[in-house]
Amino acid sequence: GQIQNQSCCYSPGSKVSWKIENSVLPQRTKISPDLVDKLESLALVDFGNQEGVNCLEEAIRFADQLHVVNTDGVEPMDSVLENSAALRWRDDNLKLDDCAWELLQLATDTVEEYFVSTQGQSLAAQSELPLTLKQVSQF
Amino acid sequence: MAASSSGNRILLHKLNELITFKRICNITQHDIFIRRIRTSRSKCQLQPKMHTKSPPQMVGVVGLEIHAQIHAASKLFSSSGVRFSAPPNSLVACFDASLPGTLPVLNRRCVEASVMTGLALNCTINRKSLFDRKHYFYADMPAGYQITQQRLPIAVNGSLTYSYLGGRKRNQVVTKNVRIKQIQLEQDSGKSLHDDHRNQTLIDLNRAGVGLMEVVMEADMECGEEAAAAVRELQLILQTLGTCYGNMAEGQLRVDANVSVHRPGEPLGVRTEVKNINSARYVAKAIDYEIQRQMEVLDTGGTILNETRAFDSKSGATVPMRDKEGLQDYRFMPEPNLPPLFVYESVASVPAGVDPTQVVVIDRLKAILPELPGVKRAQLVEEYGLLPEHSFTLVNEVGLMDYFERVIQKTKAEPRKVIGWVIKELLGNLNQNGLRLTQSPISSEALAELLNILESGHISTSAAKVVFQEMWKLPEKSVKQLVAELDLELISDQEQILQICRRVVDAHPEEVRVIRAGNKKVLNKLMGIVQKETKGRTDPLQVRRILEEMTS
Repeated sequence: GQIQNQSCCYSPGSKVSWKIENSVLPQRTKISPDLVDKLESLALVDFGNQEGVNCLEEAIRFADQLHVVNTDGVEPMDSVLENSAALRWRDDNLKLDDCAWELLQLATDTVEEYFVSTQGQSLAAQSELPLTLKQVSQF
Repeated sequence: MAASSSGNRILLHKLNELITFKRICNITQHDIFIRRIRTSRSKCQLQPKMHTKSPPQMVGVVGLEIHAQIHAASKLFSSSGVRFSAPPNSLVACFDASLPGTLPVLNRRCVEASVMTGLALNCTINRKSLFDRKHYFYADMPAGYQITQQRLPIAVNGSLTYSYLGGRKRNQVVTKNVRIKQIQLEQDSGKSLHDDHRNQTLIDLNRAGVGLMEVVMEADMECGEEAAAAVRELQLILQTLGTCYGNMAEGQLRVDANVSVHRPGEPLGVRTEVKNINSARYVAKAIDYEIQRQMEVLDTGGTILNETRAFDSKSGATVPMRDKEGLQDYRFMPEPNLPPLFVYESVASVPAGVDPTQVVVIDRLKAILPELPGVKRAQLVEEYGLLPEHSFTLVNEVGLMDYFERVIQKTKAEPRKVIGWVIKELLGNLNQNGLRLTQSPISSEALAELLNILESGHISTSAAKVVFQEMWKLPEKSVKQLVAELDLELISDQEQILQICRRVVDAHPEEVRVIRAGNKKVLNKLMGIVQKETKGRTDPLQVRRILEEMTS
């Protein structure tokens, strides 16, 4: 694809834009209602209206432009510190402070020093026990 | 017989009805009943009969994901403490509660622990490893994500050799190998308690952020027994290294099993994940149950769902956990607050400008690796001439090897004799009474004393066993005291022995005639009578010699 305007650095005051032909981009992704539901439950984000879906589809379209770039043999960089020993660590020492006590004071709801989880997010891990034979025989 | 078989038929018919009904409702508790009337096929001991016409037997395929809590003073990314039973929410740093503005700072001890564990499991240590975020929402994980190592973990491609006592009499050491896929560092979550009465969930963040090593074992195991043995060996290794105390009851070692069944040669079956296995005992039970359940579902024409099941220790069954509709999508992404983790081969490979005392060097850790259980077992066999199954038991039981070695130090008796006493008499009695070695009424010194008296010929072996039982009941009394009280000293007076033997021989002319006629076995009967008369206070070899002379 043709990238117009080679100077791709953005500085305030200068209008920079590029346009990539639609023909070289992959097909536009449509977000189905099922996918909207799934994303909403995974990310706990409410965007299930037309405006929200449009916004998401546009964002994907914008990212589609990356498909034009040849990345053969290039590993994606996820940190500019990828080759330096920048990771600092600490010794295994205990730090005694009142942080825990302060945190409990911050909570709106506590029960005997336990935090209370809000009802909506209470994804109970309890297994649903199957019917006992006695209950089954009552059918 | 006819009645019971028709009874069985009716039972089977009713169960078949139930199966159909339950398959519709996707309930599986009927499996417990089926187990009682069919023999278990999943035990590795049973050899399936191969007929060329019928298809080969189904076998289980088991992989394990084991979470081991790193034994350290502080957590993985924060400086709050690590303790099992502390008051709720007393060991929580601001980072653990995911307060905005807090950042993770890696605990060096956790890196060393994972590298040492990787070395002990013959893994390749990745010089560079990366941290990622695994996103899901749960009340006991305030951040909404767990920091783990999904892309590039600290150690990969290792192996674990484990053994168990198999064979018909369970006295043959069977050795197997399982591949270790990887070891990764990750955070533990907090604990949630469900208060059903008030319909709320109580959260304790003491455990949130504690360092874990997740050890992933490939699906090289076939049944519960193998999996349990692998877990036990891993536990022993971790305890020897000191990287994890492996106390399953306290949640320091947690096992999740991936179970499926298939016929050898065919593609692998759908697998289920079994969670909530809380003790070493339940590892084998849960897995065997699940293998059995899957085989039965397939036998009756059903299909296995790719689901997560929980082990219910009360019923011994696995039950489906509350549904997770569809596959969870964890939206993995690189952890932006942590640059890559580098560990170095040797001090020489540490780049200039980096303080070598501030880095983790693999060679240094290799040098301080302690002796692993496998090496200990081999040493015991070599040093003391023990049988492999005995050294296996010595290393397997907590503290038994030390006990054994202490007895050896204090006694002149041969190791092979000592081991018999330690395993058969001591361990046997401990197991019968449900006691741990630390609760043993007989100390290693006392046992050594008993064996010394036995060696010196003052008492016979059968008498020693009697004394042993008395020592068990009355640990405060000394061995010498008990021997004297029970009057079990061997009779040393030759005259006395001869007299007794003569008496017995004279009293049994019929037996003597049979012996003289050629049936030497009857001699044992006479020996038994002499032993009874003398309350076991005679040396059997001596008595035999005398009786043989008298009846020749």
